[in-house]
Amino acid sequence: MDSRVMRTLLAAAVLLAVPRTAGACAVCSCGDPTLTSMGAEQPFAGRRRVAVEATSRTDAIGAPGVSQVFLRDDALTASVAWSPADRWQVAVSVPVGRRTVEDVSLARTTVWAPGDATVRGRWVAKRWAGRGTTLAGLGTGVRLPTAPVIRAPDGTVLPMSAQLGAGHPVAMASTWGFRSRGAWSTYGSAEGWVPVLGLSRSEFVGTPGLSLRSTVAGQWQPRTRLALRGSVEARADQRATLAGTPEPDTGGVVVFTRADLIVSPTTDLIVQAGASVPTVQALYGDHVEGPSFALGVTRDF
Amino acid sequence: MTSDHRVALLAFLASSGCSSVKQEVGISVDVDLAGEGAPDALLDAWVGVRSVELVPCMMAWSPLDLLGAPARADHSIEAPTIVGYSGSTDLLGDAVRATLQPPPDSYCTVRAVLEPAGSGTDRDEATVGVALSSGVVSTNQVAWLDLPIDLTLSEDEPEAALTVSFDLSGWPDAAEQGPDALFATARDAVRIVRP
Repeated sequence: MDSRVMRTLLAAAVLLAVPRTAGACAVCSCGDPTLTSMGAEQPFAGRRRVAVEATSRTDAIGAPGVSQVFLRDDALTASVAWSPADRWQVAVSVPVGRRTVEDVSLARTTVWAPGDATVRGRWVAKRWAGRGTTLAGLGTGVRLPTAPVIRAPDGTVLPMSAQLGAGHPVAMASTWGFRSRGAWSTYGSAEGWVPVLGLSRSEFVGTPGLSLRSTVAGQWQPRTRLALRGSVEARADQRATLAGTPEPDTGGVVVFTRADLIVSPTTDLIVQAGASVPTVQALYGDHVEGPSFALGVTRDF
Repeated sequence: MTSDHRVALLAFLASSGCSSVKQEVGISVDVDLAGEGAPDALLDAWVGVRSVELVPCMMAWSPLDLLGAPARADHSIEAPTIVGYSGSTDLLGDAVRATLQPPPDSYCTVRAVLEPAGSGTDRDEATVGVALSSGVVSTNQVAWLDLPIDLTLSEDEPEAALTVSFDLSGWPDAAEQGPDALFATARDAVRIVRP
């Protein structure tokens, strides 16, 4: 593989290795989750990618001093991606997480469990070559309710705030585009999440709403092994309902501003560290999302 | 086994359903309602305590208090500093206990709201009532009591207990004077007892 191709691939890979959160539920992640596992560069048949990413985030839901619960999610997500053809990629991701839930009385529940696994496919619909490279495509996927139902020692099901899984499949469809030229590259995507309620676990009584996520990222790669990336990640959630009644403190819009440092110490190996800060929070009710942090390693084969 | 095979195996194992849960109890305050010093003349004594609230020192008084007790339009009690009681409390029987899970804070006041339980029985239609050999005296007046307390709750001091104790020694004589005197005596002879 010549250095130009390598550089292009590396640029694409590091641009698109956007960290994601634990995937504990339908409302607690943001950004484009395909980027770490698949990247956005032109795939080639037989290519494989393995990624491991550690993430940490916080959330505060409920009226302060009254009904507020403070959540902290720490997760380790393993992903494997494979390209069966030059225009196709498939990936499987499985998070393992720790969630800590603390209420106003300092009562604390700590849960260790796997989260929901996600299977995705992505198609490169169009590629334009010339001065730089431009790609555009579509994606689809499903998040499966593989996370166990978390119960208290007495067998009662813990509230949704302590569950690491959403309790239902989520179907996903997306569109994306990528452009690189020289040391600069950009990426954008939009993805819709639709809960498949007919297959909800009986232990979970709430009904989640639709969700729309988008990511816009720009990257500058001044050196072959070093890149800086800035991105804006947005999420808009429909309100969840319980027996037809909107649940308080759910739904709304949040926008994160993100910065990442990306290093490639050896060929085909990428290490990235990022921090994300909520810059716009138009969430319903009493719901405040905190900053998140990520550290990931990606290896291509 | 290649690296991606190992990751796939890790993912499979992670999805196999194993999990662990650790639950830690936070701050809790046991709040008892009880009578003390009951004279023999008192055949029965009861009080309707709708709620007991721990009031943080920084919020112990509000100008809105001049307008009356805190109102709850739907009669719900949902704050972690407020505990509600159903029915009237028999002050000659065992203490009635409820437990609060309040946030860490310094609390200077215990606010007890006296009002009829209103569950339909004659007894629950009264705020304060006594049974003497001469008959039953009761009243449905309402009041709230602000009782001083020095209570600090924190992660290091997560447990506490207190009793809202009604001194019954003056109730028979007050009842002989009528419902108003009985209510005044019941309202004024209350203290917080801590173990």
